[in-house]
Amino acid sequence: MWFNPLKKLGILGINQRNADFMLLVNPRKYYPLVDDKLLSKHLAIQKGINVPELYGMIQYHHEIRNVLKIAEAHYQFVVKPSMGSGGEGILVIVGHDETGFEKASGEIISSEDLMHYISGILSGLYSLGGQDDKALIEYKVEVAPVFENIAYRGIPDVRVIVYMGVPVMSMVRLPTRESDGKANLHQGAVGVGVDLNEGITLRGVHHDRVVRTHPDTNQPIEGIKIPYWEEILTIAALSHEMTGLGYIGVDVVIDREKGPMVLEFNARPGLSIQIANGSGLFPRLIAVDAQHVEELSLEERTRLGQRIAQSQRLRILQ
Amino acid sequence: MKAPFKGRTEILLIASFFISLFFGSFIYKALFLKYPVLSKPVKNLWTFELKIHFQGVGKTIAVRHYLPSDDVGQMVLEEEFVSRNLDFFIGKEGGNTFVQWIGKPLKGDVQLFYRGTVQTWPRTPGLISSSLKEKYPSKVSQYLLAKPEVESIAVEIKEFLGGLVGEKKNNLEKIRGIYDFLVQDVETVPFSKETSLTAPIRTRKATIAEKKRLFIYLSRMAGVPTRAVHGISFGQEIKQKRILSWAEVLSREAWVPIDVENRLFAQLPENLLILYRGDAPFMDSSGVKSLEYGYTAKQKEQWSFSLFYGTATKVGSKVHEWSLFSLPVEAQEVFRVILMIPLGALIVSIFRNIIGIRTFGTFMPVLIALAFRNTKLGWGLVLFSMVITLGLVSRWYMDRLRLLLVPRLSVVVTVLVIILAIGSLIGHHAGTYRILAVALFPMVIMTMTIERLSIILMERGASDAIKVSLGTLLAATFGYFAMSIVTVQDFFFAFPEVLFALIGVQILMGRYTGYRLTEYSRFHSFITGGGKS
Repeated sequence: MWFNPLKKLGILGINQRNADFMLLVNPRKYYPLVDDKLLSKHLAIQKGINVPELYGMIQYHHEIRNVLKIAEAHYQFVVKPSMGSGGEGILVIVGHDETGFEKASGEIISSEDLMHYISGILSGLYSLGGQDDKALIEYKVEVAPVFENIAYRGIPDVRVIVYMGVPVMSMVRLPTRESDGKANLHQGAVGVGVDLNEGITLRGVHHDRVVRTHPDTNQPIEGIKIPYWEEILTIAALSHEMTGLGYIGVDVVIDREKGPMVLEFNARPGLSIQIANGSGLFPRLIAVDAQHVEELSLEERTRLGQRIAQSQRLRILQ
Repeated sequence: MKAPFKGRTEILLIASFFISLFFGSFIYKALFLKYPVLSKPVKNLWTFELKIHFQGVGKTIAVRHYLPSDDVGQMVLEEEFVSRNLDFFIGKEGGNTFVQWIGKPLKGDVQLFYRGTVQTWPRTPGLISSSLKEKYPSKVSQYLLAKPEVESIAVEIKEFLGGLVGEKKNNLEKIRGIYDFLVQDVETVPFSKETSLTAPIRTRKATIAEKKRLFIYLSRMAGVPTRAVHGISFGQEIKQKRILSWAEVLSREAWVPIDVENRLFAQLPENLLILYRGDAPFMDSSGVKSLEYGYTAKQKEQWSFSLFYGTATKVGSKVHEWSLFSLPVEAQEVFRVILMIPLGALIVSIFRNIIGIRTFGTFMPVLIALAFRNTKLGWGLVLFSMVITLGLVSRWYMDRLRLLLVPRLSVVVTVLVIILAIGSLIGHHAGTYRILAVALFPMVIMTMTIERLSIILMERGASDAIKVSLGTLLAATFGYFAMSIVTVQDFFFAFPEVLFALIGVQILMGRYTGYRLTEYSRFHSFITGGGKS
């Protein structure tokens, strides 16, 4: 291709992502670690990384009643399938009393409803291919103030693409009415690029189109300083050692009080993040390949990622 | 630093190995074994049909008719007989082939049917040899016998013949003399009260039948082996044919045609089918009345590969001993389809990895395309859309019922089966059997589609599921058309080594890291300046 606009911009295509990166640096045997949220949670805890606290886990139908015992100790909690994908099957309980459990939408459900819901999770209602699953009951993350006006019913998360332990690109994913509170771009969430150096948001992408305000709240989404930025990058860089995967997307949520927590890892992170950042991934990955990253410390890897991102941004601005 | 991918050379090597494996074998077969490379329509192929209709009179029935057989310029490829209540056998007699239908005493209408597929080539009869031959082999001597019923006739004709060709030195001149006399000097009359051999000589008037008979008689008297030939002329028009007859005279080793009716001396019209030789009538029957018969002949549409095979087995060629052509016919049909699957897979690869259209799974589109072969495209598309609609509706409704995945799918499948059953019943009563053609195979594939669909529905929502469905449909339709092209099928069947080339191409495509076409629109905002901000 003598003149290819995408190539000139350094856009990484799916074929190249799969063939030149994922297939080479993501050993298939590590995929279950990231596909099962319970396993990834344990991994993160081992590395001392903050995760939403696990209140309890239900694996068998006869254990379902345990959820009521767990609820006694926690006023708010989240129920989610361990192997669900795309944010499916997540139930947020914002409070409960003897009349029932209140969902994030305000709807009240009975304890029988709650147990039936968990039964559905265990039977594989939300897992791919319908295989048996586990239900995780965990801490309900509180939206950080900075995101309050640009998230529609749900918790935004920060997605960081990490290549060989170097954070190379990042975006914030904002739930919308369309995405039903979920932070997945293909379900209609807004992705907002983040400058790796400062942690300041750039522009947004909604359904592969550039946007500058949140489609539901109409609040600007540019120029927002993300708190705990250095910490988030460090967590992201660590995920390489944690998962054994060379090309990975790390999803971090920011709790109002407890700060950044790892939500999950993704072994096949999407490519729309490039639109949100107005920058291609390919030159950044090549720049990482040019370094002997395995000899670098965690701190050095984060700096490297920031340096690469900086030079790529400058190149684009020229 | 990640380990750079080192396999590039290896992949190129493997791919080119497979591709050259194909070309090597292909060139060998095309050049040395003379395989036809491109299947093309065959022009010189005909179906000849014989229909006989009669009523039984309650006596043992016997009907005998001559059939075409392999001869100079013609080859019989396939034959088909239909005769209810009657048995039949094929017999050979004096170089001719005939079919004999026999049956128990019978009353009422009986229909007999014969269809033969025949290939013809232009015949190039040699010129009549000028040398005079005194002795002929015994099997030819029967064609010298000229037996007039009455001695006086023989004498009269002999005298006349002496005057006509007495001074002629050689066979060519003798035959020419007789031919010229009949064609030029004897007037053709449509009807004559009685057939006679001597009357035409006296009156110089004769019917066509008399001329033909006289030609044979005179030639034989002149010492040239001569025989009658009967056949059918093929043409573009599809209409009732009648049996033609002409004569053949022996010249050295070859028989040369002479047609006094159409004034053809040592030449034959093209596309002539020879039925039999000799003086016997073309049909014999007993125990029948109201006998009617008819012949039709029309050009047959066929492709050179299947013909090549048909001919090759007939002549006992060893070329095919280890080719797929040597499989039983039913297995061949299966393999024609199976060989197309890798092509379908390649098309799906192109759709997914180069164009970037998403489909249900990798091979669902191939399987759906195969199912389309059973159902035909139109009904297949209807079925497929039905599955998608059902999936969407069941998702919408059963989501509220909170059914588990597997029972929910079972409900969808059951509803689909009910719809198929109703559709088949309606189709049956409306008189179309297309819907009944929905076999088990498409059913299984539709079921798998439902499962795939519901996973995507769950994972990515309805709008994505519809997009992927359309992508699947598009890929399947393309695959269906590609796999239905007869020329391609024939090529794959005659050169199954093309699969090696497919492996090579697929390996190369497995390392295609360029952009998918759809990514140009996906990252469009980049190209148009969105990227500058």
